[in-house]
Amino acid sequence: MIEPLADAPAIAIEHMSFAYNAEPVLRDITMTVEAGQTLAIIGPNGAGKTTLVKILLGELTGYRGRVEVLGRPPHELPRYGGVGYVPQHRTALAHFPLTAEHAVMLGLARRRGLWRPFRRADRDAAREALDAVELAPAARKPMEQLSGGQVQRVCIARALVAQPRMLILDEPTVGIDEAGQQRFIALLGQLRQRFGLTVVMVSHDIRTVASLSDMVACLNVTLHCHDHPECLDQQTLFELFQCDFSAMHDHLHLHGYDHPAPGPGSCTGHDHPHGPGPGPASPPAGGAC
Amino acid sequence: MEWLDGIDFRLRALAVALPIALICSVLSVFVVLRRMAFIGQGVSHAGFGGISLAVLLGHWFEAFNRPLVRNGVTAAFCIATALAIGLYSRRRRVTEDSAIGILLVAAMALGAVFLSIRVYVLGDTSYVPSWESLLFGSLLVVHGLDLLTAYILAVVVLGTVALLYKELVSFTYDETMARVEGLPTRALYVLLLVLLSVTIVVALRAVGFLMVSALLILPAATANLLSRNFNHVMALSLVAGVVGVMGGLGLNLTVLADLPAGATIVLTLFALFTLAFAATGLARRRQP
Repeated sequence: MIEPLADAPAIAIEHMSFAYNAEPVLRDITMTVEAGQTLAIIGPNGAGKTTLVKILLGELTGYRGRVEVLGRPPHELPRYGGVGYVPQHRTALAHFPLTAEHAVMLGLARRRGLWRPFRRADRDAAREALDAVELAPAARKPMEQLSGGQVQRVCIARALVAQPRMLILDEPTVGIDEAGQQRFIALLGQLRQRFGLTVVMVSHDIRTVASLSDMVACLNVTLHCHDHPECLDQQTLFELFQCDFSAMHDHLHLHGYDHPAPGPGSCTGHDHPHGPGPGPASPPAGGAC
Repeated sequence: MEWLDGIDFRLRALAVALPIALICSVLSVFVVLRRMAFIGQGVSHAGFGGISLAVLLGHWFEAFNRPLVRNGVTAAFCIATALAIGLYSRRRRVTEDSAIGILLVAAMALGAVFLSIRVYVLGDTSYVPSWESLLFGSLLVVHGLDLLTAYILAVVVLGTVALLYKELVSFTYDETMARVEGLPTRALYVLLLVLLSVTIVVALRAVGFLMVSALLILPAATANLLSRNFNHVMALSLVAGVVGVMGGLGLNLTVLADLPAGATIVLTLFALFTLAFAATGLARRRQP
């Protein structure tokens, strides 16, 4: 397991901006996530969520500002490890001819080393990881025979088998039925506790991720953060997503701005001059609700 | 090397077909599952440009008329095309399939121009292979050097795949996960393209430019119908490839002697795929 650098937060972003061909996708993002916290990044399609995930994974460079994950620049992460990635559910992942056990073992490819084949110990580790996601009985099953939720759990097992400090999940519940989504989120909560993981989840569906999160970052080019997801108000969500969230209101038990109690992690953003951002009644920057 | 040339031509054809079948079957698993089939087609057509360039250069430099040098130039041309496909498609506005389509026709056009310059402009027809042998292969005219080259390359390709098996499987399954986990995915991609180019050069002898991509698709496509376990798909692909290539060539050497060997090989592979397709379809219908 790779230990984070001493005293370093799990994620530290300072005044980070990113543009594709001079078109700003992320603007002046500042955010800190402490080790062990769970951050949900929500936002509509095209808000820059995937771009932010790619930056955190070291897939995209060329941003302005400072970004550190586990105390290191993201592009160094593949070399040092410590971060597990769970991609969005795709048909291609489910229809690939792999057994669940083999798919999980692939997460150990780098640790086993170039040129060396997998060993029995790798198979045992894969079985343990599958057991952790409650899929041990399906170890020998082909991925094609698993449900969407089970495929995502296999992906989590693959990330866990390398013993990461942090999990980054990109739209983990897309394409999964309602029951599967709830089970997935409940399981993620258990794993976070058991392994002391920092979890970063990206979603366009706040209903699935809010219950698990310590912080919610609302992203639409700029960042608008809440240390207490239950404090997200309808006005903010309407401005962010440009649609009515009243149906979601009861589900989330949303409140107004009357509970200022910032947590250990924090994030701030700045209004986008052209895009949607917090209006006059919006909460102050700094993460308090 | 002369002693190899003394062996019966049918035996030589079968002996060279075996390593071709083995390496094509193994690589076809990655080509099919990584969805690189169109790249295989682009690179194989680039081989036509490569060998035509060698033929043209052979007018001025005698060395380029030697099979080994021609194979080297063809392989280099294929690798350059494969890398150019990767380079073109890194630009967001040129998709990978567009890049392949562009380079495929450009390489074919260059090949036609190079051959025409040597034959019609320079009026030199010595050491110029026939269009038919380039397009459809000439497995029945195998020299000792071809045999040796095929076996050496088979050892190189199969050895590389064996040593990097788990890395290649991971890269083929999901490139982003593999990269985040610390695998050198860019290097693995280039390696696959290089192995593909080398394999194509060897396989060109069997089936020619037009049909070589069939050898890189049909074995794994057949195996993928029959199993959902990667290791089994690899084994079944080897069986389908060897049975298809050796069976097709065997048919050609015995009862279908008047037909082009490349065509009988491809049609045998296609028959195996159709059988697997029908069998798995029937099995699915019978399931409750």
